Amino acid sequence: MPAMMARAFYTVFSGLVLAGIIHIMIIILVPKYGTKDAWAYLSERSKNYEFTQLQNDANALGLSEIDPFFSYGICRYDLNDAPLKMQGDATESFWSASVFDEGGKIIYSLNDRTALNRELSVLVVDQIQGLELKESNWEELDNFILVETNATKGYVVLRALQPDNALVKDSNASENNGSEFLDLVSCEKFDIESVTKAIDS
Amino acid sequence: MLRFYLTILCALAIGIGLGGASAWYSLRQTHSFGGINIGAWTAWPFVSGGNADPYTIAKVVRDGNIPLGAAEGLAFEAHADDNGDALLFNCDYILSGQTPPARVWTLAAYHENGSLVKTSNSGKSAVYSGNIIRFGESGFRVNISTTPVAGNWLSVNESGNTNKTFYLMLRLYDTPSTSTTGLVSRRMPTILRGECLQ
Repeated sequence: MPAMMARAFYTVFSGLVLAGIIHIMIIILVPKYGTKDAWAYLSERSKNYEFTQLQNDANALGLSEIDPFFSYGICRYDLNDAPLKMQGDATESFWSASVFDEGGKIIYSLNDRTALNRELSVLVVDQIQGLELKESNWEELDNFILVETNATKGYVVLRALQPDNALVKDSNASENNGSEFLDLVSCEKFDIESVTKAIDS
Repeated sequence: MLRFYLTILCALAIGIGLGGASAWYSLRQTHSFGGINIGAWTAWPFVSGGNADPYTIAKVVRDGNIPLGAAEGLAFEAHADDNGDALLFNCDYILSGQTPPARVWTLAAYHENGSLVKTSNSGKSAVYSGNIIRFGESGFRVNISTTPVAGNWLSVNESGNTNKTFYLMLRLYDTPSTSTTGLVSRRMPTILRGECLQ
């Protein structure tokens, strides 16, 4: 009988250890293989260095929990190609942005009040590009928020308050009148050599 | 020999069953693992940090949403009223009180799958701080109801969905609540159930 007890105990114990391993594996693997991943969704609908406004039709939008009072825009970057320069006009209404890495982690976030002169002007660089920029004494660098990251790929998501959104006015409407602020946002490769070379010569 | 295989089988069943169930449970939207609770509300302020824990990251991916950065704001979810009962489409609710300080806040109702509740009548399933009627001291009240009500009305009218549940998200944009000092104010609106349709 004691042998039986020992066996039962042994079985349950191994089961629990296995349960722990499986639990941890699932938690860690969900971000890698999650099918509802916002990043996977956004990658399909946007190109690198091209600002894309997301259509604010709740059904067509694969993203969950969209705020109906906001318009969204996304800009993807790949720092192996070039640093990212993102600019937009100053505006009275609220907007905010977050810089994400490929895994969906937030690297940096800002809103219109924390931005310089309430203008969107952000440079996303890796550490080497950041060093080059700082050494270059480029005068306009002070006009940009410099975001340094170890992640080479990722995306910036911009949200602009859009209370008059069609989605809110009429729940059946699917068209989006867009955001004037988002219409004027630029997302482009930043020619870092033009800045650093000028100093060398 | 049979006993040996049976032992392995049992261990495997316990492992896969418990491991899978506990992982699923900790990633469920209604569960506040890694979050903070204020009344019926739960927020995940640590989602925006560089040191976000694996549970929070996995939850973001599983939900398929775009989390708010610390400078952007803080999102609160409520899946139940203040008594702990799930929010139902066929019940009226009164949401009242105050929010932590924020420049803009929005309140919206979602289906359990994360899509915005689309109403079949003229009402809207969302309100925001700019179109709301307040009473003194910045307190406010929102009536969540299937039928039109005076004052601030958040419509959850959905034909054929009366027994299903929904959840609310209160997003505070540009709020000091996400600062490093933690949640400065712990006041959140209460959610009380009114009458239910049979």
